[in-house]
Formats: sequence, structure tokens, C-alpha cells
Amino acid sequence: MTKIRIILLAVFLTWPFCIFCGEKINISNSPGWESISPRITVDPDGYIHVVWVDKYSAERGDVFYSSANPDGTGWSEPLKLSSSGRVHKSSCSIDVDGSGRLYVLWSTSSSVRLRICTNGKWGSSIQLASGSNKYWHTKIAVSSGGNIYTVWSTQYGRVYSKSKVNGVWESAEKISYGSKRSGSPDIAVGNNVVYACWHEKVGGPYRIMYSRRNPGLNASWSSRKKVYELGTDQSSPALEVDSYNDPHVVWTTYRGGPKEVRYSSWKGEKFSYPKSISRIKSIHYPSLCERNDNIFVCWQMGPTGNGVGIYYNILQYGEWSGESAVPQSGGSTVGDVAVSPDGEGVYFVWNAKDDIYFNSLQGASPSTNIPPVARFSFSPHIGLFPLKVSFDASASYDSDGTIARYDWDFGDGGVGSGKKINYIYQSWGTFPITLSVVDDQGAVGIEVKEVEVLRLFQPLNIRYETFVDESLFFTRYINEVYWERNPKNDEIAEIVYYRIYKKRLGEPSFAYRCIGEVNADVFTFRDKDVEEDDTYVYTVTSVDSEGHESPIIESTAGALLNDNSNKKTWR
Amino acid sequence: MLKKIMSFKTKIRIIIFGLTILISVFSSASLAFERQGTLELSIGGYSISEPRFQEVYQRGGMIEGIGLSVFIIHDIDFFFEMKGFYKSGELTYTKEKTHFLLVPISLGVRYSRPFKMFCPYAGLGIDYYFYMETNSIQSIVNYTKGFHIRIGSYVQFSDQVPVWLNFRIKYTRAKTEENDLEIQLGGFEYGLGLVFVF
Repeated sequence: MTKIRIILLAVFLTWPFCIFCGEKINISNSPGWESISPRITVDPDGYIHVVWVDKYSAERGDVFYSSANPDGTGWSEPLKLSSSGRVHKSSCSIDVDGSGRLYVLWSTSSSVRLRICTNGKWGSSIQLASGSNKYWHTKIAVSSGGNIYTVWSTQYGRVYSKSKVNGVWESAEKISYGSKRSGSPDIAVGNNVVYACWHEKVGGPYRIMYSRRNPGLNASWSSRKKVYELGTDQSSPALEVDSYNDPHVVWTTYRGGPKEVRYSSWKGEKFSYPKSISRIKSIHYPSLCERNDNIFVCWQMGPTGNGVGIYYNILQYGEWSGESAVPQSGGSTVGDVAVSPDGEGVYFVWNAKDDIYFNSLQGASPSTNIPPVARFSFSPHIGLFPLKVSFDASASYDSDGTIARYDWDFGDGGVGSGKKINYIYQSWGTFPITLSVVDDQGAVGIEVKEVEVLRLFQPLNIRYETFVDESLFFTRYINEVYWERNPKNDEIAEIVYYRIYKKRLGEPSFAYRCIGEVNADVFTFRDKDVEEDDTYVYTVTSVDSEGHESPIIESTAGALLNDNSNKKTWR
Repeated sequence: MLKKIMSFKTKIRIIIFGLTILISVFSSASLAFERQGTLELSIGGYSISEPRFQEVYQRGGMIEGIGLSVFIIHDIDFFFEMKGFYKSGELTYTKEKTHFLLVPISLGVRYSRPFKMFCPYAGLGIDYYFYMETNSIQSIVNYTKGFHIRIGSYVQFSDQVPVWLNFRIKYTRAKTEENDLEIQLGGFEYGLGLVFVF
């Protein structure tokens, strides 16, 4: 034990000098298909194993597998593990037991399947569940002795678990509540406890729930409990259990739009207050790995399908290392992390540009490269949308080299590259702007600032009445649209006119078309182009002297009357 | 278009006034002969009974016209007349202006029976109702057919004066259909005519 502690201490002391080994490696090499949802594990001998899904269409795909030497070299040719072509895109999972047996779990549109590799030989797939459900988000945890614990969710928002203990399969058990919206489960096994967690919505926001059981045969799952209530949406949990049988959970959480990664672990009798371990940004799909009681967390930052990169943070001896980026991980969507048995190597996989990539972080000789410093200015800092903002990263520098790349994440889903760049915000809110600069050695520097994009508000209490207008031979229908001034605009801008839009009931919002404008002191509009058999939805926007227009927002005060409740017909 | 028609009406009035003078002179000269027909200038009131008309154009109005009759056998004459009826009104909700012009053309037969200074008559006939409506909703020009009955009486002040008065009441039925609406353009007409006998 003392020896291990000395080793761990050495790892800790040298950690700041850890570097990435080099170029990312494409391990899927599947030009024909989009490779997604990679999962990684490391066996007791240090060999690296990765599975992923090659997606043929929105609901069809197959699971592929590849392995590599402990130093991340010698990747094997991808091996197809499934043959149905019906694997769900986010459903594969991998784990390894103490004997080095590999366990790969996946789901199709009608079943959950498991395949085991013993001494390099793959067995045939085993069906764990089948039916008319669509099965999603399968996860597997295997004890060192080879007991198997699985979870998955269904399209109906239920989470199930099924285990094989001492060679005996238990029945599948529903562990989420009723028929509420539950999903994205994860499962982890310790020495004498099994934990499962998932996100669930029972009124209010989505919350991370957990349940636990004894690892023994036919042990019952405990009643579900919240990990920690924060009052905001929590989703996509990842779970591990350390050698003390304490669970560690990470998830993403909303904070009025952008997300961050929160971490919580078991302290005494409950989960600790969730700690923020990432910047507040657009964050997706955190992943978690525990090794020697250290916690390794990675996540994707940026828009789905084209992220800024995979970022990570490491908890060692109670201290978080701080957020860092995996080099060359731009364009990513989903990432995963695994750690070598000795804790020296940290391995990342992610999907980007239709392929699966790998990179590793190794404890090695101290690097002489000093990371670049990201600095930028922008103008204006506040304004009405659509807001054109100019960004300038000329103040960034690299003290021992040059900056090779400037990457921008504008916080609203938009990204860009270049030292100087203009960007137009097409929506409103407070957006974190992230500048990531990469030097000629691949080190990353980041700076984050915020821009506030305002919006005008629609007038209040928009409604209309229908009237019949007749001559001797003709009849037409007139809709009189009414609204009231919205005082919220008083502090933002001077409204100079109102713009009236309409669409037919049942049409999507983009079907709104402008039918007229009136001055700001007029609060009614007469629509003479009305078909007798149609029902319309009207909305009104506020426009200031510079042409800024309030967005059309449904279901807010002062927005729409989108039903017939106030429609009256007068002759 | 409506303005053109209105100016046309004015011209017609001037022409009728001139004809009145000429016919008076001609009639005086031909009194010695047995009467062969009449020329009549009429004015009166016309009320369309259609409720929709009442709603848009409020009520009836003046109707003016000219008529010609020819005696074919004793006490029975054929007649032809053409009149003009114009109203402006408001659309029911928006109160925008709307204009309506009706030109009834009638053909018919009458039976009259002189009785001292009166010559009461009764008759019936067919009608062609040309109509036009213009407003911000749409414009239309069309016609329909109808029929009418009429009663009235000529008043003859003197055998030496070839000018009579004609008091009449006429009821017309003339239904048309526009835009799936059945509109009754007929109604009661009452009026007075200045009749020149020749």
C-alpha cells in the first residue's frame, strides 16, 4: 500500500508536466460511414480497447471494435461486433474484468445485446432484452470477478437494469419511477456495491437520480433518490465507484442556457454539493473514469456535431487540476476517457468529422513548452440583436513560440477562426465568448468573456376579433387585431412602429408573414385578407428606429393569442 | 365608370327635356287624328325589398325614366320603358363607400278603359335588370330577368291638350344570384308620369 502511495505521489508531483504524446490517431478509418459514440476501456495489462457505432442512417448502424498497445500504437483493424445493422447510435458500451475479458453491450431498435471476448476470442452475442421498445443508452459495468451489471433506457422514458451474478442472469428490473421521462443511465460497480444513476423528470426540472444495490445475486435496488437538487435541469450523468465504494457522479446542468459540468461524490451519508468543474459554456456528454481513487472527467464543449474540442479535468488527492483541452479535438461530439492501470496514461477518444480519434496524455519528461496566453477584445459589449460584434485576438501571445491557430466559440452555437473576426448574433441572451489559441507545440490557452445581446419585446395582450363586411352582392371577413404597449421596451429603445404578422392556425412559426405596419401610437390593425374557412394566428412585433425588431416568441406574456378563445364574429 | 354613367344621365335629361318641347308641339298639331301611342317621362320612388339592400343602401330612392307605348287594338297597348336607379351606401362594417346602379328595361302590355277624365289601366310585362355595384371588395356588372305587374291611371284634363298625367304603381320580381347569394332586385315602384299623346 505504501508503495502504491509513493507511486501515486510521484504521479501527482509530475502531473503538471504531463504532455500529450502527439498527433491524434484516426482509429475508425471508415470513410463510408459516420463513426460516433466511442467508448474506451483499458484492460489490466494496459491494452486499450475502443468500441463505437458506425451509423448507416438515423436509426441504423453497427458496433465496431479496435484495440491498441498500452502506448497507444498498433491499432487493430476495426472489427464489426454486431451484424444486424440496427444498432442505435448512442448505445454501445465497453468494460473489462480483472481477467482481461472484454464485455461490449449495445442496443438495437428491438433488443439489448452483449458480446464477450475471452483471451482474444469473441463469443456470439447474447440477448439481454427484446420487445417492441426502442432501447437506448446501454451501459455496462463489470466487477473484477466478472459479474455483469447493465442498464439501459427505453423510448418510453424508463430505465432498466439486468445483471449476471455468479454466472446467473437476473431478471430485468425497472429502476426508474413509473413512466416518467428518464434516460441516459450509467452504472458502476465497486467492491461491495453497485450504483446506477440516470436523469429523470418528475415535475420541475430534470434531476439526476441514483439507486444502489448489493452486488450479490438477486439483490434489490434501493428506492431512487436525487443526487443533489439544484433547481436547474441536470442531464447526461456519468458514474464511477472508487475503492472505498463511494460513488462519483458528473453531469451537465443548465444555467439559463449554457451548460457546465458538475461533480458530486459521496460524503458520509449523502452526495456532496455539486462542484462546477468546467466553465459555463455549451457542454455535452461528460464522461468519467476512476483509477486509483483519482477521478478523470472529460466532456465535449461547443455545439453538437462541431464542438470546440474535448476538455478534461482531473481530481487527484482532492485537488482539481483545472480545465484543459485535448489537442486537435475540434469538431468533436462525444468523448470518453480511460486511464492506464498504473495511472500514468490518460486516454481520450472522440468522434469528429465522421471518424473516431484517439490521443493520450502520458506522464513524461517535463515539457519546455509554455502554453500560449489568450487575450481578446470585442465591441460592442451590449446591444440589440441582430448584433454585429467585432472580435480581436491580437493581444494573445505565446512566450516561447507562435500562435498557430485562433478558434472562437461565440456561445450561441456559432464558431469561427482567425485573429480578427466579426460575428452577428441572431438571438438574444448573455453569451460566453471563448477564445482558444493553440501554439506551435499544440498547447492551448483559453480566455472567456461575455457579451450581452438584448432584444425588444412584443406588445402585450395581442388578440383579434372577426367581423363580417358586406355589400349588396359581396361578403368579406375582417379581422381586427389589437394589442397594448409593452413598457419593458421603454428602457431599451424607442418603438417607432409595430409590424403585424399572421399565419394560419397549425402552421409552424416560420410561416408567419408580415401583413402590415402601423405607427407606434396605433394599437390596432385591420386585416381584410381573410378567408372564411381559415383560422389565423396573429402576432405583432415592436420595431425601433434602427430597425431592430422584437423576436416572435410564443407562449410568453404579450406574445400570441394562438387559439380561438377570443375570436368573435360580428355582423 | 360610374361618373361616366352619371354624366350620361344628365345628358339624357337634357335630351328628354328637349323632346318634351318638340312632342308637345307635334301633339298639338296631330290632335285631329286618332291617338296611336304615348311617350312618357316618369319619375318616382323605387324600393328594393331585399333586406341586404336595406342594410347597405339604407332605403329606396328616386327612379327616373322614359317610356313609349303603342296602341295595337282598341284599349290595349304595348309599352317599352327604360329607367335608371342609383344609390350610394356603406359597407356594413368598414363603412367604406359602395355604389349601386340599376337600369330596368321593361316590355309589356296594358289594358286601359277610359272613364270620363280618367283612364285606369292594368298591365304586366317582363323586365331586364342591368345592374352594377362597385366598392373596395369587388366590382360587378351583370343583368337578370324578371317580371312585373302594374296598375295606374291616366288623367286627361282636356281633349284639346295632348298631355296627360300618369299615376302608377308597379311591382317587380327580379331575382339574381351572385357569390352564392340570392338577391331580389325587384320591389315596389310608384310614381308620376308626364304623358304625351300622339
